[in-house]
Amino acid sequence: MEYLGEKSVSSVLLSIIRVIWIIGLVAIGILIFIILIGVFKPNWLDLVESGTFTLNALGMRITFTDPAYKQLMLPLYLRFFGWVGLPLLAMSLYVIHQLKAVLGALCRNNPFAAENAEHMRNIGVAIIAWTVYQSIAYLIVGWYIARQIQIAGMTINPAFTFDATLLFVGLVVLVLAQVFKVGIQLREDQELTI
Amino acid sequence: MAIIVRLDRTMADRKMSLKELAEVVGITNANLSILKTGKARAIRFDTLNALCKALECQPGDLLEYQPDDV
Repeated sequence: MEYLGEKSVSSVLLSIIRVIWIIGLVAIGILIFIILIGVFKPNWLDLVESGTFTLNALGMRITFTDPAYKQLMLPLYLRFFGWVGLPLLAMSLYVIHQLKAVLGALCRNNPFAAENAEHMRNIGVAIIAWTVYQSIAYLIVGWYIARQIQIAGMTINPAFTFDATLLFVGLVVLVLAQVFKVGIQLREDQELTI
Repeated sequence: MAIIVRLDRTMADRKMSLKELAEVVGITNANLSILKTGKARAIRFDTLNALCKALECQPGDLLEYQPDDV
C-alpha cells in the first residue's frame, strides 16, 4: 500500500478532505444565513420550527412543549450559533484548509516541503485554540441558559467541560510540526552538501 | 559564513571553466555553481579530493577562513 504519491492513502484522504471542505463552506453559509434571518426577520424562523423546543445534551433529548420556552430559547440559540458555532466552524475550516495543503504536498511526494512545518504548526495551534474556546464558550452558554430556564423541582447548572483528548492531539501535532521542521532542515542540508 | 570558498580564484589560475571542471570532478554544473557561489552548507571529502586532483591544489587553496566579525 502506497502512503505518498498520486494514487495513495494521501490522495484518498485529500479527496475526502476536499469534500469535507465544500460541506464546511456550505455549512458556514447556512449558519450565516440563519443568523442573518434571526437578526432581521426572526419570525421567519417560526415557519421552519415546530411548536416545541428541543435541547440535545449528553445523550438526552429534552423537549420543551410549552411554546413560551420556544420564544425564550430561539434568540438564545441564535446567539449560540453566532458566538459559538460560527467561530468553531471557522476554526475547523481553517484546520481543514491547512490539512488540504499538507496532504497536497504528500500527494506530490514532497513531505518535507518547506511550508509543511508551518501548516502543521498552524493545525496544532488551531486545535488547541478550538479546545480552549469551546470550553469557555460552552461554559458561558450553559451559565446563560441555566439562568433563563427555571423548572420547579429541577436545577440546571452550567458545567465546565474540557476536551483533554483534543488538547493532547493538538500538542502532538505541534511536536510533529517541529519534527517536520527538523526534517526539512536535514533535507536542505543534504541538498546543499556537495 | 566564516568559511569562504575560493574556487573561482583557483579555477581562474588554472584557466578552467565551470563546465570543464564539473565534467572532470563528476558533479553537475548546478552543484558546482552552488559550491562556487558559497551557497553550499557542506562539502564531502570525496568532492574535495576530486577538486584538489582536478585543479592540482591543496584544500587550503580552495577554502579560506575569515572571522565573521571582520
